Amino acid sequence: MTELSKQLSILERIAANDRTAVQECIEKYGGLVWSLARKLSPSDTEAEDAVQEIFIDLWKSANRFDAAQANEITFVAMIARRRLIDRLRQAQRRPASISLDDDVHKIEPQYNANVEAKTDAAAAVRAMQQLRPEQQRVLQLAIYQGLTHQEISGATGIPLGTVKTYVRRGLQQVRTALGIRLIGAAKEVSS
Amino acid sequence: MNNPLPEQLTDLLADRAVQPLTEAEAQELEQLLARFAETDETQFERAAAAIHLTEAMKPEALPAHLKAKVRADAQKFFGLEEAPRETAPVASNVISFPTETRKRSAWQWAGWYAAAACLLLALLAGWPRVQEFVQGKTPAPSLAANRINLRTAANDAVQSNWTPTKYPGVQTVKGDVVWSSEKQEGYMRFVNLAANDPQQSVYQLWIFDANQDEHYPVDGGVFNVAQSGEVIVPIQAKLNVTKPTLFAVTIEKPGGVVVSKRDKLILTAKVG
Repeated sequence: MTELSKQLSILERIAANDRTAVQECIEKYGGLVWSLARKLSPSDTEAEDAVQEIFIDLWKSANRFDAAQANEITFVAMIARRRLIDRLRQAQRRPASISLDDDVHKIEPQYNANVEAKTDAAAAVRAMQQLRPEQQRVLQLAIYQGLTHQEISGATGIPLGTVKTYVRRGLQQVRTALGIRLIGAAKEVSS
Repeated sequence: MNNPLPEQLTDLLADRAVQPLTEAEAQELEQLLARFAETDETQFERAAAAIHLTEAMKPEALPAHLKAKVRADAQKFFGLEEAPRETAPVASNVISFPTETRKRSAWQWAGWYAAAACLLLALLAGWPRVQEFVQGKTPAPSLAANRINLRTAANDAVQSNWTPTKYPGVQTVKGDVVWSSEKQEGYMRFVNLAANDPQQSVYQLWIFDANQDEHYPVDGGVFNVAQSGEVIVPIQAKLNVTKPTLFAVTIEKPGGVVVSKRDKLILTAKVG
């Protein structure tokens, strides 16, 4: 392993033309991307196509990864979700099987806390645990299952406006927990 | 000057992180982002990704065949080692990836010479339409890469899954078709399509175009399948296709036909 590879993340190395990092990227994140794709695709065939598109997106986006802004794994999951949501938009289709009974997870880390305690996921877990149970449920349906606000409202009986509020506020809380800077500092462009 | 962002902007960013936006919403978001140019527009997407990771921290392994496809995509994307040509009927099913060394050993080269010799023999023996022969199992990397590139790069690319007809023996066939009218390029992908004997019959693609008489669909080319598994076949449309509405595969006599009786229609893929 070179000094460069010791210091930089996989995506940063890809952006720096270290081609050996491409293989590492596939090995390290292939399972994660596949899992996300299967969850948010109507079929395994669709999921396979999505995985290929996601990796191409990743390679194209490698130079935009900023380790100061997010963990690499969060960035990978973000690129994956963006592509998967876009595919849903293009086809206006939903994952084939949705079981509401299985959707509501107890909010607790499902990973090795000793190893991953400092990850964004750990912070997300802590933020989610602060939410009310029904808000957790709505957020999980939106994110784990890819249901739209309308679909969540129909499935749970919670009014549409409340669903939107739960999702938006939940995301805001997690965003804050991740230490993402407040957006109030944004600068308006003069017209 | 620094201003709090309008609530509508944060709402749209949050909505985009979890579901597709409508065209109107997407346009509105684009306009707001243009006004508030320094907005961290990925903030909610990162939050949603972090939440998703709480569920996906013990992911399934990437299937081997899919990993091979992604590696082939990487080869194409980064312009790495040239993949075997898909016209070779004995092309290796193993897609190499230059992790440790890019130099081939003498034995590897021997394999390629043997493959080339087999191809030459096949050509000399008059193997019919060898250029359309598609090896079973894993598709040749360049075809797979070309297909994925077309799907992601062509603005007008359409994709549709195959639906088997009631014709005997095709009910387990899966796959899809990708087509770009702008590029006049497309690919069919089949899983479980039975191998055919080219001396007895061939597969033939037909493309129904909104701008053509539906009684005379465009001939999309004749092809053979050597081995059931997953194959990718390039479309060879004989006429310009401007707005495909339906792709259909029939079984025809060797060499194909000009007009199909459609009595052996096995697969269709409707667009839109």
